[in-house]
Amino acid sequence: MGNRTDTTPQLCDHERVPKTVVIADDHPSFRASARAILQSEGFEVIGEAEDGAGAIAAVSELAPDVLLLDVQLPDFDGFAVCRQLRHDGRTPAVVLVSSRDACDYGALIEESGALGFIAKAELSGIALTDLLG
Amino acid sequence: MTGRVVSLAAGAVVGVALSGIAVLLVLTSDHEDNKAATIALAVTAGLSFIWSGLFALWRRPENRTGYLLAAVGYLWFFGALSESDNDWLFTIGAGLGSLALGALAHLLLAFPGGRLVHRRHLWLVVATYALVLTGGIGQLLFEEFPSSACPECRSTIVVGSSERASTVIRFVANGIGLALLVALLFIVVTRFLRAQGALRRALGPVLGAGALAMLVLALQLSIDAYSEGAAQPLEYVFLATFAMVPAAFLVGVLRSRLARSGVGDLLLALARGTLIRDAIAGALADPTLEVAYWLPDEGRYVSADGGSLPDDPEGRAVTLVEHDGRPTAALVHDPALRDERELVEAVAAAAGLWLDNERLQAALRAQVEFLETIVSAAPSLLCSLDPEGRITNLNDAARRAGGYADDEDVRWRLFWEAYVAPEEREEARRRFEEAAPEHAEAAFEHTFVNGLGEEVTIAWSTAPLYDEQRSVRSIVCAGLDVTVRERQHQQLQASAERLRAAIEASPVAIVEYALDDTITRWNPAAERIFGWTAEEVVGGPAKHQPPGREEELRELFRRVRAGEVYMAVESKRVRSDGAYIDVEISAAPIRDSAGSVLSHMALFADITERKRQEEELRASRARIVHAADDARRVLERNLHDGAQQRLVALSLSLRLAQSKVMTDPAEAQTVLEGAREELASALDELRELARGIHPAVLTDRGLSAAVETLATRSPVPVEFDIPEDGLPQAVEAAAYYVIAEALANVIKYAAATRANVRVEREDGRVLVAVADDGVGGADASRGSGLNGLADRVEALGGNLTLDSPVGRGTCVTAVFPLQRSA
Repeated sequence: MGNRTDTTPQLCDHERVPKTVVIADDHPSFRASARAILQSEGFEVIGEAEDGAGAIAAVSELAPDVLLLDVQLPDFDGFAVCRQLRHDGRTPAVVLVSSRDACDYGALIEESGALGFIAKAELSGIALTDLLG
Repeated sequence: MTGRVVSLAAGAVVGVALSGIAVLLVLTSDHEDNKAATIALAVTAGLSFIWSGLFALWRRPENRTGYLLAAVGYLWFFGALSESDNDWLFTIGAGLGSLALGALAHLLLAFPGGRLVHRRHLWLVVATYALVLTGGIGQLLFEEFPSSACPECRSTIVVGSSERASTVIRFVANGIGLALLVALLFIVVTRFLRAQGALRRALGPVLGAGALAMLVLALQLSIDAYSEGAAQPLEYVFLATFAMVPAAFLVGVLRSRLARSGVGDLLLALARGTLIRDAIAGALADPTLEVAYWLPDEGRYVSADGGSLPDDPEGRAVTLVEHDGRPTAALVHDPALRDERELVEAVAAAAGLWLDNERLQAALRAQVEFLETIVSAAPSLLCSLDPEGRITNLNDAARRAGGYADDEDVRWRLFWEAYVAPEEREEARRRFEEAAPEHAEAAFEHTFVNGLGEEVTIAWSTAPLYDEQRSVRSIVCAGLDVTVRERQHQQLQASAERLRAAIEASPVAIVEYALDDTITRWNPAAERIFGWTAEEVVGGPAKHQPPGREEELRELFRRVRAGEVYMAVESKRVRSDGAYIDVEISAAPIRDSAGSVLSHMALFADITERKRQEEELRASRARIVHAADDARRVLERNLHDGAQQRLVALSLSLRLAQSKVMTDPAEAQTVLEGAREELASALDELRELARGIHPAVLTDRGLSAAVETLATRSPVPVEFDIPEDGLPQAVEAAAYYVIAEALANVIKYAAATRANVRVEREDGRVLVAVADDGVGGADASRGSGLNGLADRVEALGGNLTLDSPVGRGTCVTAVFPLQRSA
């Protein structure tokens, strides 16, 4: 089950159900699995990135509705990416993913301004749809 | 004529006058039936008291006995008034006539000194006076005709005639009178029985007659209580005994005067050779007499046995005797002889010459006794030898030192046989013979085993004694038992030697500082630790004190000189080569016998190596902790990046396949195929990871098989020689990681063509060596891999060394002790 924060930040809040998704993760196997499962459940994966800088560039370039953002990236982590996007005024709904549990990150997820957090093993179109409201 | 004689004569005249009046009253009395007897006894008794009293006052004016005797006589004549036919005179005579009895009681209790010595005697006398006065007057107050002998004699002071009151008064007065008489008799008899010598002789007649009179009076009162008038005959008996008292006094005086003839007997006795004391005691009739002789040099009197005469001997009187105007002796005698001063002085004068002779003898005896006491009590050994070297006399100390029970055991033995060890006797004898005949003063010391088996050391000094012809009469030997001193000296030497040896052999630097801060002792350990020799530092200030620590040194010196002992204070000192060393300082004051601090001694333990090891241990522990943290971090990272990611992907693939299995089975099949491959990869990664944590082959098959696996996977050919017998698990694991890390370094850095692994077990140790033929020049400090391994090896009590000369390959060697890690 995805974790949804009680106070959804303005930056990542959306009124409509997004359809376009960019997946940012340094593990190709996860990107492939996520793309397959999300596309099979109605989302449109329009791009992938393997590090933080790539994620920011993809958002800038593709303007997806949803950024599926791994917390641990080779250059800088998902929280830094989230801060940069907010700083740049980009407005995709950011959903943090990690193979670790949300509790490993404490208050960082809430403070990052992301829409929510889904453990990688729990990722599905339904979980994402639930999170996006 | 002196005033005293005039007074005495006047008193005698008054006495005669009073007796004349009394005789007249008796003769004219119409109620005295026995006029002749009364005049013969009563009047005579009064007169004899008065004359005896006056005689006593003439002979001994300072003695109040005379007054009391005379007082009895004068008061006695009051009684004569009761013979008068005139009622007034009768009343006075009847009322005051018995006062003489009070005075008699007074006389008996005060005799012979004339003074009442005890307070109870005073009370008895006062009670007697009160009774005779109140008893007589009381009867006159209540009985108009109180005399049975004179029915017409009327009391002029009667206040009311009451036979009953009169009878009561008589009974009470008689009863009290009887009690007082009994008390008086008791005291008189007791005094007489207790008295001795001259005092008893003086007391005897007076107290005897007085007691007899009192006894008769007591009988008279007792009978009178039952039958008035029945005791009348006893009146004459009483008068007769009463009159005997002054006669007895005169007898006593006569006896003393007769005794003066004893002076002649004294001289005869002395001429016959009777002891002077016995002769004087006989002449003075005082068997308790003692004679003390005057010692002019010492200014004191000593008794014949040499003891001192007390200044004021208790209960004794002292009469000093002089001869030719100088003190000769003192006679210590009965105090009663004070009243016979002339006798004592006459005897003393007669015995003066003999006493002077005795005095000289007593002085000589006192000196001899003094010398004998000194010789006997002296702690020194004293003995005298005859000119042949035989012991003629010795004191207790000499006897005891020789271990002899009795003087006779050693007397007449040759000195060297008694007080010299056998091996030294010949020399002692020769020395004695060489000293003859002068035997000049000499000193020598001998140690010998005495009669009790004790080893004794005596320091002797000798001096000759000469006879009238200046020939050596004897040789006096004075010795001091120095055994204890000698033993203490030896013990002190041994103790000092032990202390010196301990200081010399101490591994700790020992430095002694004088109060002026200069160094007085610097032991070999101090030379070794600080680098300066004793010659360089003793007598000067401390050189090992590093600059900038003067305040610390002053404080430590102040504390220890204030008496404080301090232990294990860590500090730094400097060596002669300028290097600093860590030291642990302990110090204590050295005091003299009075407790004053003379110097202090400081001990310096070089703890530089210990501090280095402690620091190394701290660093090693920190590295172990960090290494463990790093290992866990790497493990978590590896799990996260490897197997965990594969399992996440596998989970997602299964979920996708699940969603496809109904709608698109072919796609589902493809996805499942991908999932199986993902699972196989995950298993591979987990296996690799587990091997990194602890190789299963090491656990299952031992070190040799584990190293074989490493060798198989190594791109550089590896030869190995490892014994098959098992090692302790901890050593085996440590050895494996040393080999694995060393081989990893060979692969990464050595550019070697081959490597060699060797494990040997010898002398309770395990030696592990990994060598290669690579470029060498490895530096353990550059990477943490070997440091971490060194910590692991050292934790097991072993050590790890790296030998890597440039261009000549590298050899990593670890040595483990087996016992500790077993």
